[in-house]
Amino acid sequence: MAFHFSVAREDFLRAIGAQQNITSKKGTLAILSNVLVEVEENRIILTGTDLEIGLKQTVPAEVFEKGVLTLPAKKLFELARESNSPAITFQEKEKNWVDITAGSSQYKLAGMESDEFPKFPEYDEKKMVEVEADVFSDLIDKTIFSIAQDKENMYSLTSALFQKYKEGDTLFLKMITSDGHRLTIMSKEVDKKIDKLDFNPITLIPRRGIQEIRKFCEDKNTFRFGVEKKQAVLQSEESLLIIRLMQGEFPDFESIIKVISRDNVVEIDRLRFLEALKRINLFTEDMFKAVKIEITTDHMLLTSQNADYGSAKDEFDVIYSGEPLSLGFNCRYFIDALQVMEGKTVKAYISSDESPCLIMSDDDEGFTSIVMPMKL
Amino acid sequence: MITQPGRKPRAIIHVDMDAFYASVEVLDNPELRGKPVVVGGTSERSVVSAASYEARKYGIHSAMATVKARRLCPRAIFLPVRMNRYREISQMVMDVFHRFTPLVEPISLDEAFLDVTGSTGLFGEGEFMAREIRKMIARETGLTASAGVATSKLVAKIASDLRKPDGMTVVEAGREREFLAGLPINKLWGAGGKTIKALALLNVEFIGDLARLAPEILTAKFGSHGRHLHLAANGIDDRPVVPSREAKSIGHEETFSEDLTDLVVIRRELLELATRVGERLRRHERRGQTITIKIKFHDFSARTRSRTLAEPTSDTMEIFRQGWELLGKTEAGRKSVRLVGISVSNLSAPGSSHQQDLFGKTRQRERSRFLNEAVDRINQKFGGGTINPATLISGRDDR
Repeated sequence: MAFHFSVAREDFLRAIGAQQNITSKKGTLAILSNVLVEVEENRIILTGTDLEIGLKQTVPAEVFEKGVLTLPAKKLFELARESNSPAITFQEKEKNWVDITAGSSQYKLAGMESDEFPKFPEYDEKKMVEVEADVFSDLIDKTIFSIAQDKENMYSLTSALFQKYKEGDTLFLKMITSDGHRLTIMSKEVDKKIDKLDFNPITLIPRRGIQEIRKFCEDKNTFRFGVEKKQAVLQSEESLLIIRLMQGEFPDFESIIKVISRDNVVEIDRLRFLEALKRINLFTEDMFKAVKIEITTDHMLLTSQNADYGSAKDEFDVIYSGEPLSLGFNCRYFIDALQVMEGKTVKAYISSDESPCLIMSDDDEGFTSIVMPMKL
Repeated sequence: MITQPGRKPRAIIHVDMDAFYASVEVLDNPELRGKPVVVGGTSERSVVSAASYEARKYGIHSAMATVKARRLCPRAIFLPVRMNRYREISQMVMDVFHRFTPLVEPISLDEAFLDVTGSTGLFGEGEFMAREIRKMIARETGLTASAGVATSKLVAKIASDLRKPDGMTVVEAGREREFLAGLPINKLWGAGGKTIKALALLNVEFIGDLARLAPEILTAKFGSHGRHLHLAANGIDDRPVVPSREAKSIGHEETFSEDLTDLVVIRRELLELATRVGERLRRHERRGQTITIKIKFHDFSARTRSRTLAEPTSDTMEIFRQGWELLGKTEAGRKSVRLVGISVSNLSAPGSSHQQDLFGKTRQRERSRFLNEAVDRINQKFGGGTINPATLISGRDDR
């Protein structure tokens, strides 16, 4: 059956924009750069996948004829983006050609049979619970920056660790990320009904999956969420996102936190610290962004040096009464953490240039950042 | 002429020692003077490193197989490479350069760029300085050098080659285009065999022909390389002279006395090279982030593979491990291997700071650092190779 339908450009652009993010990766299978277009009564269903992540979306449509075919995602996205017509019409012709009309523009786009398109994974609706999108966005925004970038490191660090835990009667969701030099944790209190949600002993969501979940959260208040052995599933009225989980171990971060000494604490104005670091960072070396931090009674001095340009220095008041300290840090690590933190004051627990530094804030419960110093 | 307003044109000198290795041999053994001298590996499979001008008359040139050179001139005197001696003389030459400017960029032992723009007030014009430099080199080392003086590295390098040996060419500011125009296209930097063939189809024989071509044609045909060609042909080259006190990479390679197919043997050779690279890195207090291997096969086809690590290293075993993995991405073993090389680049400054790990990897790394240092100390005291990885102990693996 050759399909024939018309969609609102705005709806279609939003859906295909999300799709082309997933499909546009250079894959080995040509069909994976296409989206599956299934035309049903009053709606079309778009499906795209790179075999790691799968996304299914429903777009309302005026359907004249049902049918199914795959079309190149990137081209669909581009033509929808460039169009200024309120509606776009698709009509399938012979040999998988599709005539597309958008205002005064007409395109002939070559499609591919849908037979070879991968089957969308099964999932268990009974395992899903309703969650708040805000909770997920916050968990992700506060941790995503320290997911390991490369695969030379411990492979599993290219994922975020996702957990559920209870303290007394209170239930929390927790996201942990690390690149091997720093670790970031965010926990959020959640509704008790989420306790129904199953987690694996170790639930690792790959970086790209995390990014897609973050996008999924936009423009939604709630959605349904489930974790199965091999996949995480997100479902809303019009979208279904399935992410293949990473199998592996995550380093024992809890024992690291336990051994960090809480004796020596510096209280620092968050914004003042952040601004100073950004300025100091102008004169750090590219590879390690080393900033030297010297702390004496109620005073902090930041310096950096760059072989090509020169040096920078900034100082300000803090609250500190311990022994004088002098250590090196990657400037970027502090900036990343301070940027997402809330509250006026942060507390940094620092004891030596060989032990991790812990950063927290009374105004940002649930957030913990741990940064390993540099040897200067 | 391309100069920025209000800025005087640069004065760049390119100095190139004449048939350097061969000349040093003649210097140390005056009986060789006037005879065809070829310096290179001694085995039948090695290549020519340098040939005296007398040898060049027979068509011998560097990078030619020694076997072929022998065929071309059986009576030539073939000598082994004495790198330490060349380095010694090279240092004397570099010292001369540094009397004129701190901006010296050595390209190899026998060749360097000098930016003397800032020194012209002190020492006169570039031409005068080049003359002085050549005189001093001759007086202090007994060797001759050729020089090119121009406003850019590109033109200076082409100029120094023009009146070799013992010659000098000066291209005045504003006359670069004119100077280049009459030279054959193969003199141009960046124009290799393929490019020259492709340019021939566009009727380009001289650099001037190339300069006249519309840049769009070149970009269409060669992409970004086309733009380089256009600029180069017009004598435009803004690359600065970068005084490199520090090496950009540290590496070693080995041409085998027979082609290797046995991966066990290749692996051992690679480990030996990695051991040497690691030692050198640590001796200079450097760490490098990019590991590159180079493989040449029996048919002279070559492959390079490289990988950038998350963090710089100077650990022998880490360098070896990465190199070995890279080697697995080539046809080595399936095709017989003639040469293997490994190098570490993307080097961090000596003694620069490094990021510590959160999950105890640092401790493991500290351990291998202590091991490396201990091995280095012992080898320094008792001679290289006193302590080596077990597979490098000769005889062991023969059975």
